[in-house]
Amino acid sequence: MAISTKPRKLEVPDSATGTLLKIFLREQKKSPGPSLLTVLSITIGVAAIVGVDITSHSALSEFERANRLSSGFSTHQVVGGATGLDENIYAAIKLDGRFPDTAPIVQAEVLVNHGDQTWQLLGIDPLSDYRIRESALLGSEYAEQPEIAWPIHVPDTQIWPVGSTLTLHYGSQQQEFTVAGEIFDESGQSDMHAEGFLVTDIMWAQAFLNRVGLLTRIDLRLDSEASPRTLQILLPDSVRLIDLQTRHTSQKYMTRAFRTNLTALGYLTLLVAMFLIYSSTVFQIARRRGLLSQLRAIGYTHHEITRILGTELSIIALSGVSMGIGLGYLLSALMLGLVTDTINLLYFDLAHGALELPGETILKSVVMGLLGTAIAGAVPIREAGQVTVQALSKRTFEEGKTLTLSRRMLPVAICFFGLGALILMFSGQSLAIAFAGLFLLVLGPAASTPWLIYHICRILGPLADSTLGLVAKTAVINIRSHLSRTGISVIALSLAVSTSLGVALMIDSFRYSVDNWINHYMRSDLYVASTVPDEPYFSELFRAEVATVDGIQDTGYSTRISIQSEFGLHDLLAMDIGPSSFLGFMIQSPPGADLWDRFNQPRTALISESFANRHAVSVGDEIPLPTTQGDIPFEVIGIYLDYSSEHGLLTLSWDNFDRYFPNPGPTTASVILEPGAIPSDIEKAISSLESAPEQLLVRSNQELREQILKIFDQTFEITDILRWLTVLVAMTGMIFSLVALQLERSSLNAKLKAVGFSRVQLAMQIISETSITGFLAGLIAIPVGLMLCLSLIEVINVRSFGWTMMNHIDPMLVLAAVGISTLSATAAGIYPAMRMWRTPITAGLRDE
Amino acid sequence: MSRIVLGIVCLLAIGFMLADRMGNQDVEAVPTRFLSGVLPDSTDSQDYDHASPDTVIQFPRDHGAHEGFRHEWWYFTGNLQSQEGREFGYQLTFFRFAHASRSEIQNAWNNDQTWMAHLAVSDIESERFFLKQDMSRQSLGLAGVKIQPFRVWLHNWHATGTEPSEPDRLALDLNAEGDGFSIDLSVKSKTAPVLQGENGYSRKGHSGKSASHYYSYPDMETSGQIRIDGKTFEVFGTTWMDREWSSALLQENQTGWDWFALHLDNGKKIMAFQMRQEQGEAYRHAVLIDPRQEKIPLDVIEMIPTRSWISPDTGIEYPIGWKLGLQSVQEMIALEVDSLMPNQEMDLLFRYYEGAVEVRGQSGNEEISGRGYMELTGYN
Repeated sequence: MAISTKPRKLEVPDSATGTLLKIFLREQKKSPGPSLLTVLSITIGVAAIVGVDITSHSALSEFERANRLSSGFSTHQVVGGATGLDENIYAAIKLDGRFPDTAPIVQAEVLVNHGDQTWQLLGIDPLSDYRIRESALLGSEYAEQPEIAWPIHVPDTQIWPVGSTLTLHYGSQQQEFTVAGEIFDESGQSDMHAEGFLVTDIMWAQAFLNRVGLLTRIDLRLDSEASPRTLQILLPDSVRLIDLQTRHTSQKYMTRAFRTNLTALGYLTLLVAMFLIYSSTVFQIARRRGLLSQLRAIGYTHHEITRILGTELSIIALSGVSMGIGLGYLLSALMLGLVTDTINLLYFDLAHGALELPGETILKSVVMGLLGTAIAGAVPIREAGQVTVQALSKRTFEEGKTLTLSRRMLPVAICFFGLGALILMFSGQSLAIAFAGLFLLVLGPAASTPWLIYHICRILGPLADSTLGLVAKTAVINIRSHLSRTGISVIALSLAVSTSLGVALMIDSFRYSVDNWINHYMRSDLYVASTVPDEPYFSELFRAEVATVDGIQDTGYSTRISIQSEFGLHDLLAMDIGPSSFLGFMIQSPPGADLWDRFNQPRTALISESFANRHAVSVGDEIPLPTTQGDIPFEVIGIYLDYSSEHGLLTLSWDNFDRYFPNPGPTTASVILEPGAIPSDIEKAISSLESAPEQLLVRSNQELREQILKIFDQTFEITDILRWLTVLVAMTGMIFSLVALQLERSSLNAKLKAVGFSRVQLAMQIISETSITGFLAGLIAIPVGLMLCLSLIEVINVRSFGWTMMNHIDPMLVLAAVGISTLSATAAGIYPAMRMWRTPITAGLRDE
Repeated sequence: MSRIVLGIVCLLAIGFMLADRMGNQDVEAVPTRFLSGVLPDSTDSQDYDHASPDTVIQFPRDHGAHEGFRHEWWYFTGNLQSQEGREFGYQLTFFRFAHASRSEIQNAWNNDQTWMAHLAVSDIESERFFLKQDMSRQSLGLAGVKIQPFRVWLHNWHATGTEPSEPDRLALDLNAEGDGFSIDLSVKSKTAPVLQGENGYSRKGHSGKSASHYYSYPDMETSGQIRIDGKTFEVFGTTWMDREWSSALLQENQTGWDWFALHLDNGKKIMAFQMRQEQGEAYRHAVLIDPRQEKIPLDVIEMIPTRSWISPDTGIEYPIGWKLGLQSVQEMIALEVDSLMPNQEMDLLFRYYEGAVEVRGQSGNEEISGRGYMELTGYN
């Protein structure tokens, strides 16, 4: 019998893994806190992604649903002038035969039973409408039931039962409608998303809205590229064919820009969470160093230990991910309301949609959560597995690694920064790529933070000694030597703080610019608009009467219409104003005194900055506009600052507008009062004029300004939520790394205590160590935040909205960022200090 | 760890893919359910005019609409073939419906006449069936009928006549197109119309409560083009045109009808139908039209389904093969009528079967064969 010369491996029973699991489980039961915190961090990271994803998905699908309901599957619309479209145009298109998928629509905003909510009354012809809205809006109750006069279909018959009566109000008209049925979606189910729509037959709609012979629009589904051109020939000059794809694309672009902004913040939170996972894994390993070395000593291989640590982390990750999905869902309920309100205020009416949890979101969050955890946890777990029994049983790693790590991070940081800058510069029109560039641009400096802190501390050390004494000196030295453990958390903190600062500065600059613009642009004291549906025009008589009101110094008039030019759908503003009001335009280029004169010359236009940026149009260019006399080129004579339309805005003088466009009259008046005149008196005087429209909305300068800024602030509420989430995750990360550090240092602390350091001194040392770290990270975050703010203003906003803004650096925001950083780090130091306080000297010295 | 993660990710991915696929099942758009209410209610007909045996049919007046009647149709079915002998069948029908009650609203959309048209082409060789439906109110000139010159139309589908040499003849151009197919045909009646039933008064039941005014041009010479998927076929053949208006086609206990319009090779034509009843014997009627357009009444001895086909789209079973036993004073006619291809179901707002058929059989001692059309309604 041959004797094996191979050294025998210590046999571990088959159930070794099971035993290991039991050991680890017992360990977890004894002290579940750290694992729970890791789960929490993954939860927050995943929740941020899921929340943003669900929110944007739900908002976008709500937007698409609203579009589908309102314009069905139509690709084009034929729209007419101010009074509406002759219904014979519909007949001509239909009889031609080449455009079978064509449906007439009569639509208006109405009120129900004197309520506040406006509803869209959609008058359809069901015999042609099913070709456009396959989701057939009407139920079978559409039948010509003799007992149902004025039938109407509602989104929810639970609220309005079939047979009940609704009184619809439209201007001065009112009419009782009988609920005939529910609006269905394509699956035949009652469509809760049809919220906001009431549907009736076109004949009832025409009669009620007093639009006999007229349509609001014609919806068409054109299937070949030739069709629009062929159709155009059939149409009289007075009507326009709108390509809905273009319009939807621009609307979608808006929601996408919004979405990309939020998604970027969501991923940032996950990234910060990854740093946190790293810290917590390190912490878990540090905490159980003794246990791990014992396991290695009794024969468990490093492979087995790695596997069991991995399994444990997987379980933690899965729990975190599943809780994150749940929390994200809850978070999205809050965010969806905010996003929808913002979209409503800024762009178009959108109902509050139901939350959707798309499969892809779950998949994405699971993959991102698990992958993030795997990446973040891999290094420390590998490290723990590979270290020898002797090294493991030691309480500390070699601190010599510190400098190596910082140094190693430096070239990576520089590469990130350079790459980020390059990507940002060459990202073209892609927002997603620009954001990726921005990420790297911020991550670079953040990654170099440990190196910077190390060197700052080297300089600070002697200084601290001479000024603040031994505790401060020890703290500074400790920061330097412990960067291998705190470095990653410092990076996370710096990343969170600098991003938060950058975004806050951008929003502040934006708000400042808008405020400045309002101040400059809104020079009048009162703004008057007619809210009479469909006929919101001021008559000549009204204008003449307003001129006679005492206390009015000057009145300007304007109207704003949407036109479809070769640049797509955009607004056109026509202004009947004097030279003093003209000064309200913040002309970007060119400066010139003769602009007022040129503005009043034929075929000249001013364009907003967003129009110029979006369509690459500059001063001197000619832009063709669809006028009543066909396409006529207008010369761009100036570009002005405007935040009122991100689609771009064109401004014409009243004479130009009157000559080239159908002009039923102005819709808004801006009134400058004589000094001493009381606005409320003038408001009354205008409202009581005989020729005043029935419904008049008068707003003071102050009211209007407050409203605009309120809208502005609401827009950025959601950004704030995400910003704070990121900071919260970063702070939790700091706690982990500091506790881990204190564990590793328990013997050192014990020695310090033994040589006479008091507990107060030691606690002070820990606290000052963390607060100095936080303070330094905050300081380093300042230039990074400024750079981010600049990139957001100069690159992202110009691309998203086409407008520029002033850089406005509020020192309070900068101070606040440093403050937040210092405070979070200080707060993170409290728990380790308390632990140290409680640990007896003997426990710390036992293992020496 | 990586294996565990990978496993979970894969499981989840498969799960979502499945869920996604299940969620995306193509929901067939069925306008039928949504639009059925557009058509008049069939239970109450007291507000409408009713067919009367005393009415004398006159031309060209009665080519036009009878708006007081609840429904009316201009029905063209034809058996055609190309120069190469490729067989086709086609149907083009304009239906008019009247609504008894309307509001007092004064606008174009408040119109008590609604139109529907069906177009179908059967490509026998490839067994492909094409169909399309269109609808409109009789508003803004979108649909309607004119007498002189004759024109019935719905949007761009139309049957337009030239000034006829005699008031009771028709020469029409039929134009209609669906998705990927169209017809462009000229049909011409060689003779005066056949007044069905008693001088155009056609009973539909034993009790006499249901009846229609009914005349036919059974033998219209047809030529023109059929286009399918961009390919044009020059075709010729025979069209059978039916005109019928009524306010009560079915009696309460009647469930539907089986109707045959057959061209025999010997120049004779047969029209036969039965109105099926829930209980009791069906009401049957048949007539032989000889080449001189003379009507010879037939007794229906038997009308028995021999073969059925289940529609894969609707699951409805249609009897698409029939055995007809007809008896005239002079002779016994035994016919086997069979669909030229099974799939000719009109799965539209009204669901029915309208298909080209072949006929074989015996008339006395003579072997006969021919082509024709069969309509089966009321099958569920």
